[in-house]
Amino acid sequence: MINIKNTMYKMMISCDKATYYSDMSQYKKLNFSEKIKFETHLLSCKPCSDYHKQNKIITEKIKSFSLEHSLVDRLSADKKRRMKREIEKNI
Amino acid sequence: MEEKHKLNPLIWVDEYSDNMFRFAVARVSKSDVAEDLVQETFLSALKAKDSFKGNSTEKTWLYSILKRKIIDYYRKASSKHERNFSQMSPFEEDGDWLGHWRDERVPQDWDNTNDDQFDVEEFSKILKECVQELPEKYASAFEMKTMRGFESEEVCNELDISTSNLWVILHRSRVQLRECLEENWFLEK
Repeated sequence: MINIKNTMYKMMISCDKATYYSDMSQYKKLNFSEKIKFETHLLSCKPCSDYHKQNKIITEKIKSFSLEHSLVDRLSADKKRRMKREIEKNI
Repeated sequence: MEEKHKLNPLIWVDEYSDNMFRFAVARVSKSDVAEDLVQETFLSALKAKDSFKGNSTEKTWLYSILKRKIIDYYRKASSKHERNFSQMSPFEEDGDWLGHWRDERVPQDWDNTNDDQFDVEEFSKILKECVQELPEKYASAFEMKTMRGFESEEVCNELDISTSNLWVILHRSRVQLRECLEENWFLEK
């Protein structure tokens, strides 16, 4: 016979672990056992379900913009000149 | 027989420096650090030019040096920052409540999250500031995975960490980021 108490105990995870799964789920699908543990925890834990809700908001907001455009994407001419000088000196 | 590749240091800057810089900036996020890494790569390459056997192209060879420099940079950065990660975990670290939220650190209500007033510029500015407060390695892992769409495997190779390590780093980063965004953005408005 399945020992229910034992099974329940094994399924219980801490808030630290539950938020770990919430974070992981922002990047990939949880596997079956992770999903069960995670969702069971959320049912009885308000702070973690808030965390998960907010986590999804953050992911969505970040997706709505990209930081790429603010990045410099080439070296300045001045920097290149200095690099060339260094190379010539050390050749 | 296949021809051996030769080195031509005088063309390095014009031929490779912009692409190497972009490669580095995508990984270290800071353009001044990326510049230095590219320059150091050229200088190390010059010093080691006798060890170049010509089995690969000079481009491949330069990138292999640059990749090593990036890894070294993270090794140094993470040993410097480990002790500075002063922020206490929001979860109890011992006792009966191990792993549970500390009372004073539970997520607050974000009821006033109003999409109509969402200011992308302002949000991205605050997000950047929050990311900068993370230890360097955490910030890079988070940015590469979240903002630049790198595969886990690439991030792990780049930062020289295991997959399980990566998930722990992303978890700690996001826990801290959520709190920082809550304080400076979601409850501020």
